[in-house]
Amino acid sequence: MAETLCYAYELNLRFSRPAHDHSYLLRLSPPSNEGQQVLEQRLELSPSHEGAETADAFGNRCLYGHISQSHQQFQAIATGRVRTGLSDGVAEPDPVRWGMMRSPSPYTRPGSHLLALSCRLADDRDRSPLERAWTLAQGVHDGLTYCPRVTDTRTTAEEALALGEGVCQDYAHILLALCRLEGIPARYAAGMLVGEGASHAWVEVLSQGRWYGLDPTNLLPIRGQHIVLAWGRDGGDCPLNRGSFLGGGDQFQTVRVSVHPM
Amino acid sequence: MYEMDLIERANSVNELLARYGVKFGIYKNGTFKEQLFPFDAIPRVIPADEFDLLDRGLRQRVKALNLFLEDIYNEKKIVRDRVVPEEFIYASSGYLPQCEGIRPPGGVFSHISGIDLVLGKDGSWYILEDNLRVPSGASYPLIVRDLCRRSSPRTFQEFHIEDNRNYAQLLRHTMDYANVGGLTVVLTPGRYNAAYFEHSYLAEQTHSPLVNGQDLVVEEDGVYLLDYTGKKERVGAVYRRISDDFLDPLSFRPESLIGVPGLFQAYRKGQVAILNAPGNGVADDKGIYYFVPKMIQYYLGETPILSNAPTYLPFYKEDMKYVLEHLDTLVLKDVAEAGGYGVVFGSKMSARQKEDFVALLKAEPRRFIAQEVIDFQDLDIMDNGVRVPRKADLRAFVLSAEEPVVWKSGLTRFSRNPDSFIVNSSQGGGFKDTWVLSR
Repeated sequence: MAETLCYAYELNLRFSRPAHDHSYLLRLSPPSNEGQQVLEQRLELSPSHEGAETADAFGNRCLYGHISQSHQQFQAIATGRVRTGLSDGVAEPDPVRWGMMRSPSPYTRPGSHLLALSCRLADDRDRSPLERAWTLAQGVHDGLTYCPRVTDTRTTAEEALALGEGVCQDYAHILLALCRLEGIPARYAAGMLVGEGASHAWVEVLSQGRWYGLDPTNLLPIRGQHIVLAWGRDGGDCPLNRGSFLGGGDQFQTVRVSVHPM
Repeated sequence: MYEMDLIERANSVNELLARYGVKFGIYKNGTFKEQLFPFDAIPRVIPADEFDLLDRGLRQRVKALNLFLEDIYNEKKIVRDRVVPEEFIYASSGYLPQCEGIRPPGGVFSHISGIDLVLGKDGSWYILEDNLRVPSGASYPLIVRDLCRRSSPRTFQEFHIEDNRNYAQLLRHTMDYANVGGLTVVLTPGRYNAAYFEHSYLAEQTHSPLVNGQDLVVEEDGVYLLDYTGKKERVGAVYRRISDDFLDPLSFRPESLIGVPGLFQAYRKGQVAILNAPGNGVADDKGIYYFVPKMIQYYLGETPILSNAPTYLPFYKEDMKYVLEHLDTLVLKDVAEAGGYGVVFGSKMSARQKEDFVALLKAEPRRFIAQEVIDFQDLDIMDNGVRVPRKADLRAFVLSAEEPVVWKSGLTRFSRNPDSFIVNSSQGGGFKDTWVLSR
């Protein structure tokens, strides 16, 4: 199960006219914990810039800064090697601290669709939160068709479920909402999955003192194929990149992620 | 009637207020309108011994609220000890998870607290609500006192009225106490804000630059003020008059154009103070209001000196039962709303409205609080030369540095409509000076 993964995350932002006073906040530095160990990592920016490191409220490692000079392209390239799959779940010494993971958050507030799905998936068998979460994940997987570009980063769980289509972020938001409706503490995990493509998102639930990852999009447990970058109540708490700038005209953004076993 | 001389000069005071641009902006049907904030010359007079009680009660309350904020964003003892249910914390729109783990410079969260009270017919003061985010209003009694003293100097010689013109010094001291080194600036969203007059007036009175978001830049954890020559000067405290949501597009609403990118991260790292601290909304939510007396007991081990209006939380079964049985005598408030919006009186609802409301209440019990309608003392105002009674409240200002200090004045707002109980200035009321007697 333990594996060494090599990753590259490449953010490319091009402007049709020069942009200036560009502030950025990036969550592209994987943390080391019981489940994954960072062996090597780099984060390079272009225009070349030394940002300031910080940690946000969820303990996510961030790099933020302000580029005053004008530029037509902004690039952030994160690369590194991570040992993954080191444990089954991650111990949580203080569950009370995570009360916010039991409450609805901006993207996971339930509406009629979520409440109906929650009712349909409810059963009264006596099982652990993790087992119940898997039933919910199966329900999310069955109820949604994977379809890019139907939703965007501002789509809520309720909206995506009503559409019946979405991407990993929507699967995660719906699963979070369902878990919280059942009183299961659940958090959003943003990161990368083995393969080529975009960044990925999944869910971790707190069950019997440990956080366990579930990937509702692929119906996979988190066992060494995923590298976590950041956590939050939902995607709005931990975007991997945020920026604000003056000028710039039209903007074109691409993100390319590749993760491979060594 | 010791205010006769002032009443005769009320028009000239109002003309001066207009000349100085003492205005209040309101949005109605999507358009911004600035209107004068009508001043009524009959002051609210608070005797010295009565103010002494208010003073002790307000300091006690603000101390407890500050301890609550520190606790909620750090150890969460009050939740662990089950004094406040976690639903009332994390589902509150004022709770900001981004603030977890922060202890602001000097340990103060609510530097400027605006506590709204009413005086009941029974002679006791009741707390109506706490405003710990960006409470406005101090500038109005402050400037009007100055104008009244000029219009009628003898009024202020004859009566023993506490001078309220020290507000700027109190505010400056509060800013200096929080400041981590550097300038203090007043951050305004600009002239289309309801309280823009106040922003500029308080900046001037405290000798602080009045800035907007684009005047500030965050570089390597430091916040700097850029002047027009491009010179940068370090900022140690930001008295922000913009709401949490818009403070920093990198950490809050990404579309905010009035905030300062990176400000919040610099604050997290202790490199700048923000007055009031972001995240304070978790403590002045209408739902959490119910728990403030319990906080005073919990953190200070004291009995609350000032009472809340009797409040019911439909979240608790027995309270829900009471509310459903006594709907006609209660006022119902949506915890998510502010500024006098989302307030309904049970007695004024039609049968149909009641039915709809009860359904909503049962579906979302946490969303509402119910309160007994306090029979509060009216204050006289002059309405076209006639003295008439109107509903009025008092916003007291408590400034917290080493210890909380209550400003010996306050903003008395009244409703101009004789049938209205809502005195919020967003809904077109007027204001009075508040005299605290020194003996």
